[in-house]
Amino acid sequence: MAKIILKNMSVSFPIFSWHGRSIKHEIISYAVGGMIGSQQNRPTSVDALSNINLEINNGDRVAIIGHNGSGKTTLLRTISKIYYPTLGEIEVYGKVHSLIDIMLGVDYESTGRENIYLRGLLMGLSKKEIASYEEEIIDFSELDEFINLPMRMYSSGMAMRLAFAIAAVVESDILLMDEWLSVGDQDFRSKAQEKLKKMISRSKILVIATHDTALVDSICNRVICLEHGRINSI
Amino acid sequence: MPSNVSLAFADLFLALKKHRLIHELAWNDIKQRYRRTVLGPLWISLSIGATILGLGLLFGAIFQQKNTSYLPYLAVGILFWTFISGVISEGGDSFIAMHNVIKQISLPYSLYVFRVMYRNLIMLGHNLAVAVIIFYLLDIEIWNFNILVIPQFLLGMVNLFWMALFLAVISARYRDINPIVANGLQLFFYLTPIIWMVDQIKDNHFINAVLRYNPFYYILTALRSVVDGVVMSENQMLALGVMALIGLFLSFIAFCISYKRIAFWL
Repeated sequence: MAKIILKNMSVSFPIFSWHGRSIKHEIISYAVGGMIGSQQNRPTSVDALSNINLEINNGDRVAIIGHNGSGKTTLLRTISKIYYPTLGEIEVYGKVHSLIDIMLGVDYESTGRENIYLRGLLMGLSKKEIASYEEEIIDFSELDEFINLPMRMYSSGMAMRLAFAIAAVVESDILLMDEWLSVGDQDFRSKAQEKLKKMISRSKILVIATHDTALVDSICNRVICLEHGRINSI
Repeated sequence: MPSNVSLAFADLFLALKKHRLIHELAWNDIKQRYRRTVLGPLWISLSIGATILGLGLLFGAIFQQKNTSYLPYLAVGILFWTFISGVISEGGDSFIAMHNVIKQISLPYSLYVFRVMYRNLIMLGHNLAVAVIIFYLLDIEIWNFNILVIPQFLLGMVNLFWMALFLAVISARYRDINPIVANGLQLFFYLTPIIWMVDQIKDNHFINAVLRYNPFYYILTALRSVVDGVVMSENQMLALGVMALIGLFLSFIAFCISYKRIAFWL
């Protein structure tokens, strides 16, 4: 069973002014006893999400829409336990797989094959599991002999294809995406779309941040509109 | 909501459970650094070797030491100091350097600290192996294995761990810490018996006081004992143990307090 519950959840980012981050200033402001300027130099914060109440259940395909800076990515990162809520509570049941940045942790000096292991381990696979997926990944990415070359020799499309192929083997309950992934040339794109749709149908929950209304209509069954960090409509 | 303390504990356990990933990341760091170089990791040993040779010849002459006893002493000291300062300075950078990964994937924070330690440990082992071989070829014995030194070595490592964790946390919040640490390490390089020996200045009260309160003196003595086999005195062990306990406690508190905030600071 997969489930995400957010109760009165707020996330705010501390902003450090140039002063606020330095020890010198903390010491000086301590010494002058809050007389000069120490007040306005205290870290202030930006409320990225405020007072979010939300329950996402098995089978939900949730689209998060909203302007830039409305808190979409922050919400995704909070669900994947990177950001902790400042106020309120979050409960996540089920294994989360984040496709927010599939190129993450790619080392361009390493070969494609080495990157399969590196990325796989970062995403929580064991070495044995990666070995069992290795051929499947290489097959799918259509890289053939290129797999043994350093990734800096790849075109950006090839690198994306490999990264996608690696991300696609991970089994999870909850899938998080920041915009729909479209990878590679015409042929590969349709193949990747198929794979992605299969991944989505296997996962119990999908949360996707997007601007694409056509996409929302075709795969999502719930839409959440964020505005200035608040849920505007569901 | 889980409390900060249980989160921090879970973080440490989870990091140790992911030792495979730590191993892989650390190796990759090393491979990455020396990829496309002909000599590869031998470059680390070569550059330290140049330092040792230069300092060895100079100070050997100044102190009028026999090179057969001074050079090995200096070499072992420098190799372990390289390890200590590597863990401390890179440890303080462990979260900042990985900020893009930390913001995308939820992995235990302490994993990044262990990775820095492990990476430096690999380099230390490599350098030591090269040093032992070179001295063996010169017909100088530097390897004096003594099983009794294992507890003090481990205690030394524990002390390095808490320092690295503590620095990683506070340098994520205060960006001045890293330059402070870099300068501090430079100072301690001279205040710690690496290029000089304790016997040479044992009548100097000032140096004695400095040694007594120099944490790196204890840590270096503890670590280098795996090579020179010198067992520490009870008082020294006590100092090392007390420092480990207090340090672990303080750094763990800092870790707990900031646990939920670290990602926001990066």
